[in-house]
Amino acid sequence: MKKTIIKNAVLRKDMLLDMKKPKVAVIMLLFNVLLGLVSLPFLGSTLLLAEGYSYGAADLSYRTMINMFLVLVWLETIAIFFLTPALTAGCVSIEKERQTMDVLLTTRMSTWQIILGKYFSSIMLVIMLLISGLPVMSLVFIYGGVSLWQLFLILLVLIATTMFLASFGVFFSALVKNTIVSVILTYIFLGVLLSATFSVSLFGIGIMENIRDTLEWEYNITTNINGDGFIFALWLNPFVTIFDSTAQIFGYGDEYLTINGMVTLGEEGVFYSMTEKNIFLNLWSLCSVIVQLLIAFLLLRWSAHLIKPVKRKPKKFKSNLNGVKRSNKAPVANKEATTEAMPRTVAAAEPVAAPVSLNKPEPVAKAVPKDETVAEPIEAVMAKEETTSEAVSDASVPDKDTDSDAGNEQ
Amino acid sequence: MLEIKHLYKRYGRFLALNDMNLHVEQGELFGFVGSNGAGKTTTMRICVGLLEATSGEVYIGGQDVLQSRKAMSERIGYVPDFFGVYNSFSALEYLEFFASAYGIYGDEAKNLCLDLLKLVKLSDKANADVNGLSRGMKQRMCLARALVHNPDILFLDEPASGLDPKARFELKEILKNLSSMGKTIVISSHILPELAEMCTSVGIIDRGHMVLKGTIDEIHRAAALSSPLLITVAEEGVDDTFAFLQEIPNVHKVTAQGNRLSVVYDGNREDETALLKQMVNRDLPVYSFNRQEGSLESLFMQIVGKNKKPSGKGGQR
Repeated sequence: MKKTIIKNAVLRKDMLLDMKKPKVAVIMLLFNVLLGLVSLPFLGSTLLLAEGYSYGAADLSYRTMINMFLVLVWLETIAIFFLTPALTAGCVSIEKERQTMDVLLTTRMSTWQIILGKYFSSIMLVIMLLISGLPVMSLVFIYGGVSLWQLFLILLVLIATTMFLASFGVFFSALVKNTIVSVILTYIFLGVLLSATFSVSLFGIGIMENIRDTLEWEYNITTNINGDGFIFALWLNPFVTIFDSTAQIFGYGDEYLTINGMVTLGEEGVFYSMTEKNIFLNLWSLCSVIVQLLIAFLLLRWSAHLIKPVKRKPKKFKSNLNGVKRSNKAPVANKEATTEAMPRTVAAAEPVAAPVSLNKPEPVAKAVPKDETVAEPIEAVMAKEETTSEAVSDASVPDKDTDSDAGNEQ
Repeated sequence: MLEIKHLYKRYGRFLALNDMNLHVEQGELFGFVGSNGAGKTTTMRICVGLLEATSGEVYIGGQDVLQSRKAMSERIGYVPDFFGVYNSFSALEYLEFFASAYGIYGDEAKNLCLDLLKLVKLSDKANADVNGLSRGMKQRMCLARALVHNPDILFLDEPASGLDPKARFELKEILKNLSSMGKTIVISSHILPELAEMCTSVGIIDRGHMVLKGTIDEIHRAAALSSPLLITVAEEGVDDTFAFLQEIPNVHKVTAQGNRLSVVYDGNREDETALLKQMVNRDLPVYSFNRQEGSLESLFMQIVGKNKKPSGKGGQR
């Protein structure tokens, strides 16, 4: 018996379907060609510098290789940012478009399992892309400067970023029916998210500072209020996360260029409430990754709720159903009778007009061939009276005609 | 097996299901007939848990579907009115996927799916691309898909629509076969005669309300009774007979063509006998007395047409 590693049916199915498409291979190829082309000049310059060493004039630096590595990381970040929405924002809506969602929803899988399967199958592509880039990234090991552990850490951060961005794609594709709309919404939203995190934190800090200054200068109240906490809005910005983590791990050639450094060592008096030792600043990357993954989780839960076909359980039958006027009287008046007198059988030789009364609480319609005489709910009787009177009037007119016709014939 | 009680569904101002009641016994092959928009699909989607009901109860095997959908998914198989297939999947892979969605993996799933393909007579297409299958084959494959978890009750939404006579026949045979295995099958269509050929009982739904339900025999009888009585009398007795019939309360309409009278009459066989007896007792010169052959189509039209008249009150609000 074959062993089944992946238990999630949707995940298995989507991975199988994806692997059948040439799309993945093409994207991977283009991605790696791009990475290779970008890394070559760095490698070349290092080689040239190394060559220069033989003339005694070399300035060989690990920094060149680290810079190459940083450029590759940022390239991957940008690729993630542009590819993730495209690869995830259709994952649920395409099932809706193909009309396979209904069938999936009737299976034993819960909506949460379906969403998880969809989510992981689509980020799997991006993760595979990242892994496929590892050989090019490993060029850095030729001369050193980056350790395997550092490479691994960066990969983790990139994967976390993917997971965060992908959750928006899944969410929007669960929200709307159309894949294109979902993709557009995801891009717009992520664009807004990236800029809004900056503007919110800057705006918040500025506003609070204004309030403090106003209080101090206008009202002579010296307070300690500040908006420094708004800086943490940037936790939601994956670009900042990657910037901080790369700066923490490799540095950008200047120790000020981590978030912690920029906040606490920058201009005096801006973030005076925060010190270098602030744990949230020191662990910026870790905290922001945790927050982002938490948001991703909540978004996925929300998506699972969105695709749930039956969100609230229906009321048990009640008489005072708003607006359902037509026959609400019928079941109420005869509630006890109705439950038993459902149209289980048609009395064998009933007239055709009678079956209309079958749903009514008079199973013995056979005995009363004329519908009007049955003690029926008012509405139904009214409806029927209309029909019968119409029928009668219909009948009476041609009757005379035929009568006279018959007379003429005779 | 299936019990629907006072099911209501509104879409905005439109009342799609209006006090829908239904009872289907275990092992029945139940046909759901109604014109387009009568509420067949809505009822089915509520039963399989894909749609919220406004109010009402649905029980399958005594369990309330609307209250615990998840538990019921094991017992329900559903074939919607569209195929919903994945491109670039083979028939076998397609079925295996749904098997895994019910927690069946590996060789077990493969054997099961091959058996199912055999059941729906698609064994030779196991490795064919799903997209290349004909409509009839796709429909059968979807049926196999709905059987993957061996459900107790099957809901098929217009399975025969768009199929050619041969495919229709094959589908019918498979359904009868399944029915004989003890599965309860609920199948919808807008063509009554089509269902009459295979179903054990039929319900006619009109504007969200079950207007007629019965076994096939009963439906046929109702169809027969829906058609007018044909009475032939001697020339000289036409006027008397006409006058007599006019006074009978169950008679809605009498038309005469020469000595042949066509009578629109509400009543069963016994009533007919009584009527004939009365006529003979009155010395009316009756030559012949019989019911015109009734067709299911005309019965359906009659029922649906009749309920259309007071439309100001029902349906659309």
